[in-house]
Amino acid sequence: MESRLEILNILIPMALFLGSFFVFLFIWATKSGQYDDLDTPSKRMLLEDEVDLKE
Amino acid sequence: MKITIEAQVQCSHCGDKVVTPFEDEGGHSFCCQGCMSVYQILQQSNLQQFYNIQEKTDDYTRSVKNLKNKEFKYLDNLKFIEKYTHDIEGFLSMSFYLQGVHCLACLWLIEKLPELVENVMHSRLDMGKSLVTITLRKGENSFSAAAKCLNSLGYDPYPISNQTELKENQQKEERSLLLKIGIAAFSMMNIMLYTGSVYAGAKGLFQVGFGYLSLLLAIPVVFYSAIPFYKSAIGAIKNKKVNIDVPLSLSIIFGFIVSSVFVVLQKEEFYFDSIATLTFLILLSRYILKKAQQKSLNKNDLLSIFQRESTYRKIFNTENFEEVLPDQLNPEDIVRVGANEIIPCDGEIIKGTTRINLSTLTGESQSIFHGLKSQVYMGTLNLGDTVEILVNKTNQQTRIGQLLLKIQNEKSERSQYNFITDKVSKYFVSLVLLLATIVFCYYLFKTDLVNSLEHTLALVIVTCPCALGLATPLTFSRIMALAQRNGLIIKSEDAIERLSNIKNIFFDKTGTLTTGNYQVTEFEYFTSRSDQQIILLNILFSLESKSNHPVALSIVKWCSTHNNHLKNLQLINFEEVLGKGVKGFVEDQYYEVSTTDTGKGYVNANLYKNGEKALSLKLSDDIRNDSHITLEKLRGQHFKTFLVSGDKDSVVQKVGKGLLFEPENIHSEVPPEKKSLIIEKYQNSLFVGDGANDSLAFKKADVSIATHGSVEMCLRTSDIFLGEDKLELINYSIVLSKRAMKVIRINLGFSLIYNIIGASLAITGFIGPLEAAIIMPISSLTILGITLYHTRNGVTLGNS
Amino acid sequence: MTTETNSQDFETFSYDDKLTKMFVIATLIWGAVALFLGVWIAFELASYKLNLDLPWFTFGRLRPLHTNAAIFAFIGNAIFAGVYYSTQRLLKTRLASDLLGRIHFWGWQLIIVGAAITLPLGISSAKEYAELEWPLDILVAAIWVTFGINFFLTIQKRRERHIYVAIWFYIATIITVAVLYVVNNLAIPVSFMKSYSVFAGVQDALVQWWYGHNAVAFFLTTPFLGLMYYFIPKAINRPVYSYRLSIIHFWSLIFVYIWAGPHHLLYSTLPEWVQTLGVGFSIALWAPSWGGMINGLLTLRGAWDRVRREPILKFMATAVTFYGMSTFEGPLLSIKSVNSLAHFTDWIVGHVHSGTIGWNYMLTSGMIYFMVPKLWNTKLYSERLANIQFWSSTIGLLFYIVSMWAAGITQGLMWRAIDDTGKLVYKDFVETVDKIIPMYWLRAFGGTLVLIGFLILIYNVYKTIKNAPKDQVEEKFKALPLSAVPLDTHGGRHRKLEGLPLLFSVLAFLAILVGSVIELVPSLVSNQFIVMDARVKPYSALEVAGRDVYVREGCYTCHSQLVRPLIEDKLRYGRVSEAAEYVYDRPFQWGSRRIGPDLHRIGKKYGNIWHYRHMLNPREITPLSIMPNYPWLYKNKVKFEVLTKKLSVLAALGAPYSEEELKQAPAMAKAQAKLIIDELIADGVPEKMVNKEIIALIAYLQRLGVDMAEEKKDEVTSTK
Repeated sequence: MESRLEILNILIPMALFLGSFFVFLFIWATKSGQYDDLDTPSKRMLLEDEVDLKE
Repeated sequence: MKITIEAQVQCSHCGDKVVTPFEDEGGHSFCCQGCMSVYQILQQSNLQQFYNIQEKTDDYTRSVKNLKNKEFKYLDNLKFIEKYTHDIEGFLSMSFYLQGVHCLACLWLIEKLPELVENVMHSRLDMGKSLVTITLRKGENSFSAAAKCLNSLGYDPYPISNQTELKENQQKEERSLLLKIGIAAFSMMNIMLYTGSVYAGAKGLFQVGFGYLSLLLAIPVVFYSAIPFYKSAIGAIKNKKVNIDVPLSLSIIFGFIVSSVFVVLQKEEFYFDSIATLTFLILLSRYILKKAQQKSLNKNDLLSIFQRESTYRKIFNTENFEEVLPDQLNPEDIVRVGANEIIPCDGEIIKGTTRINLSTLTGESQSIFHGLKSQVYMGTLNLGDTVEILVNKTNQQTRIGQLLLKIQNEKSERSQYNFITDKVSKYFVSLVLLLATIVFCYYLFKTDLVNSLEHTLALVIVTCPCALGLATPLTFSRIMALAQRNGLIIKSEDAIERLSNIKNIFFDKTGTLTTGNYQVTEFEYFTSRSDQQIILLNILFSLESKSNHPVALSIVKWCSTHNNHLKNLQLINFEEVLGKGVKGFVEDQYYEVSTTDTGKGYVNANLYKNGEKALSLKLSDDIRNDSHITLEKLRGQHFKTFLVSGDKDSVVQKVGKGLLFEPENIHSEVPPEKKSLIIEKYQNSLFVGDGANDSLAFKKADVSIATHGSVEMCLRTSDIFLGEDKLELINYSIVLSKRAMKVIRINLGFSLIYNIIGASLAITGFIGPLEAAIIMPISSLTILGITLYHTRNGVTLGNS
Repeated sequence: MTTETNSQDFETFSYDDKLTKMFVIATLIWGAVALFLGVWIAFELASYKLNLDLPWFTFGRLRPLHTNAAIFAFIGNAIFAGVYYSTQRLLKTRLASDLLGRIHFWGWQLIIVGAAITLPLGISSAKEYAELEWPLDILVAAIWVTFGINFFLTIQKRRERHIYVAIWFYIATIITVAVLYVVNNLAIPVSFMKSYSVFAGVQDALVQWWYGHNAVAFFLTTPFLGLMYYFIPKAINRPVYSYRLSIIHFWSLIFVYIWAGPHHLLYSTLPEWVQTLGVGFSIALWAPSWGGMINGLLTLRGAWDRVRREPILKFMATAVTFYGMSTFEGPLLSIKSVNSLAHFTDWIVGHVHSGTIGWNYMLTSGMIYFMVPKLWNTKLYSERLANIQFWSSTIGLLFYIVSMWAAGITQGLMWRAIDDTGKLVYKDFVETVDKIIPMYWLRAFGGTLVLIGFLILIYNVYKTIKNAPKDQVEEKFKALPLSAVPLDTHGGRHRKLEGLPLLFSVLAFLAILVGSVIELVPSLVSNQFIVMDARVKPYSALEVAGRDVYVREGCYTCHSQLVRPLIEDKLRYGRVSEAAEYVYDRPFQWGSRRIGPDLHRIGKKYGNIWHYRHMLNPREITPLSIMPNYPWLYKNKVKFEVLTKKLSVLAALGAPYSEEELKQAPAMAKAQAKLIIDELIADGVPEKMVNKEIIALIAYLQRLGVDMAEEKKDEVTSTK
């Protein structure tokens, strides 16, 4: 006897809602130019520009 | 006997071993002037951290040997600013293409520019495209200081104009394509989840529910991600042509509509996952191809290359001069052009005599003597002394201006080449449409509408040219990546296809088949004692290094190859006679070098000691050593080879015979404008050249290859550019192009077989959504495998 | 060329490293506690005496404390330390608010102390990896939201436009864990420290393991991938192998990760297609995980000699390798045939620990060795000690995994061994238990080595901090504010979107999601949908009291309640369990390990006196048993008066109790207890035991699986 899975009626919309939220984030990221240059960020994160302000 | 080499000293900037180091007061040694100045700049603005970043990543910067400290005044010219800068909320920003950027320390240094230059507020480097964007403080507009600083640090900046494709629309285009891919990916993965459940046996309410969910998720794919396919399909149909996107769009739209109908009818056959997958895969392969293409160098605004150096204009009836840009000159002005400067306009010499190298215009390497009243042209190089020129033509009206104008607005009338795949898709589409209608009517007649729709839908989905649409872009981007790894820059994929069908190859002489400058081919000492010979060599070296005549430069280079610790001896009343040679006293011995042009293609240079011949040299514009092998190989593959050059007939004939060209295929003394007329007579022509004068010929030939060493101009006008100084790369590019087309034909064959099998199965009803969902990825993966296998690194130089 | 720096546009700022230091110290303390607990319960399995017959020490209560301590206390604090350290440096800005950071720190430690108190007392919701009771759940959610707000505000005031991939992983972690935690812990409180889960039976199983898997995914993997993408390039001073691949890896993981729960429930009463889907997706997840591993390992290419010498790199390289191994073992285990052998066995424990110790513990150690010298700007006390820790933990881990593989496969094979006459070769369950006792010793030994390693780490860090310079001045940094750097024209429109709107949209999203779930769930899940099988009745009042004892003692940590549709399960335990039987189980108690036999068909299999004597001293019945004694069940009295409240909550959640049953709950419970005690008196049990908890437990155990024990031919399905 097939057991009823009403829970899916919540889990699926929720998973979709969560997924579409990440699509929204993806759109915002692409539009605001996060992925224009994919070569330099991995190198720029290595640099730290301390400033030793010797008062 | 060889003089022992003292202990090697390491340059404290670029780490090269050096023999005769330059010392600075701090006791550091450098290999050249350039490195020393960069080191000092870093010291002054306490940026020594540059060196410990280097150690940490243990890759050294290249030495900055040929550091020409340019002024970049042209950057501040208002007309230039308006064409090259962006104004965002009052901040001016300009991008530069930087040569010499390659390591972490460079990134750190370049992004530290605001601390080195007062009016720069922000500098951002994109190492992939080696492009730096510099933003000035509000209200500032002088970029020359920034460019000068970059140059003095050893990086050579080329400004990128803001209308060029690179900046504006290419970025927007890439972003929108990336967005479409992202959304297609999301929908594809989630649709697979729900249709997967239906395949896994979800029944009843769930099956219908998942159907509608898949429909919902397919909507963004069909109505947003697949737009590029529809646009290019409509474009193709508008001018009555058919390309690969037509069958593609057909499958997507038809598949979507019928699948939606089936979902509403609560049937199990819906193909949303196949549609989403194929859209995603093909968009992705086109994105990869777009990334592989070199959009950064394009052909507009060529003249600006010659109008970069500033020149000096005489202020009306006064004796002093004002610094001005070439495009600000107007006829009747008087201009002073110093040694080693580019002539800024067409005109005639009114004071002084000099030697001018005309290679940029005529391709001829030998510099010619110009006296009073002789005509000079813009873009040529003044090798001799400073002269004053009366301007009669400027900018576009000059001879080179006309030539470049023609090139720029020359609509490339190459035959509109459409890809093999587009040709195939013409028959393919008609066949599929025909088959679909037959199947639809047959089943409509035999069974009912739903059943017939089912079969037609299966047929359309299975026979969609997803594999083919995927294969061509992937093959070309793989080939271009492979080429680039071996030093060959192919700018667009249609060049590859055209290159694979060429029959006739035209070669320019100077700079392509020959070295382009004089090489010492024979020498003879008139004294047997070797210590005497070294002294003579030293004297010759000291005398010739004073003059910048091309022959003198070759001799100096030859001397230093023989013995690399020659010292500059003390010369007394040294004198250079233009065109004749040099003379002077060393330790009260009188020495004279006389150079004579024999007119038979070589030059004699003899060193006389007190009137008596001591050393004689013979120089000629030597044939490159790899020319013979390359030509032999090309002729081995039944290509007809031609030699076309602007040089004197005697020289061209000598080189032509030397390289076994048939006499009737040798054309000499051909001015740049005429070169293209010769090429036009032949079909499937490839032109291999280097100088600016070949740019027009580049346009006429089906495919053009610019050899290494040619000016940035060729880079922009030719299809293929040899990154390394090896002629056999020409052979390699042909091998690559043939292999590319072979792979495409194999893929074509495979996808036709796959379609035949797929169509027959679909017609007989064996294909359902699950089977389609399995064989579609398999076919794409096989195509991918074939392409990757055939374009692996095994395609080395030489083997066909 | 002017050389003085034009600093009027630059902003100087310093990082809030004090908060990171606090979290590092918390990581070390709670790490030691969690590992010690792990070693302790490992020894408890090896020899039952270590349970000391005390309620607070038995395995049932300490195992949930170990899992919660390891996941939330040890790895939780490590994540926060790493996130706060890397985010500030990547975004070139100080944390948005130091206060929120302190609230987050002290709130989180309060939660941990709360758990350390409640779990040993048996106050647990018996949902694996989410055992905390409802007040602590609310506190976790509140503190997590504080962390989220602080994090998103920091992004909003960043000075580096590009958001590095590590930050994206942190964003995904914050958002998804918030959703997961709230949904899985939805429960209706009965009293201050007791609640009943909103979901029941099969649906509770699906939600629990949707949470269970994604807690592993989004708490133990995604943040650590972020940490990997930051700390490995920083430690080796070389850019990540392919930044493009890391972006693809992130988005492909996020778009679909949320769904891979069902592979924990293979061969259960879950519908067939959900199981197949679960298998399919788990295997699909193998690709993005290995994409991450390859990217991590290839970043170290060309510097392998340094990896051999420097302990930090050794830890990180091993961590990534174990990540690859456990994410390969996972999909393998989710293939149905392999799962039928491995499910409920110790092989799963081996897989879990190759992930947690191999990936999380190792990367945390590497990260701490990298951060501590920088935070206290001093040199590491001793590199030799670090190497010793590395070798002791790695060898310990190998002992752990190999022993668990051996034990798991032995269990799997012995359970399913059937001779040619179709009968079980090892009829008596305890035979397998006895066979793998040596493995438990080996595993405990491995765990001890890992614990020793960690103590060395603590000592090493302690000494490093001790001889660090006393006056810790905060390093100054300078960078251009984002507002000063104009974005190119068409990107400008989106800068407005970046500020507070982004933060509020995130919070709004969370609010909508959680709100809709809370409001939707009760109505959807309540009784009118559940398919009733007439034979299945809700638990009686006494049985509910007994079930609460079962839940309190954490019996699910050793016993499962699910007879799988496999021959060996049917032969050993009886009829295959059906979905309808679990309808009133709140929370479901299928369990994930069979250290002891399955109990779903235990009802009426043995007499009351058997259970009475077995719970007092299991060895009296089965000499080789490793089950602890439960003497306190014979002292504690059942609280009858609270049963009415309990039953009314269960009724509100859909159990069909009549009005009369609710009012008379205590009386009816006493009556049922009377019946049981009358039977026991004959066997010499004193009469005064009638209201003791053991009686209630016996009532529950005797009821398990009784309703549908026999094959009922008539198709009885009625939906009220």
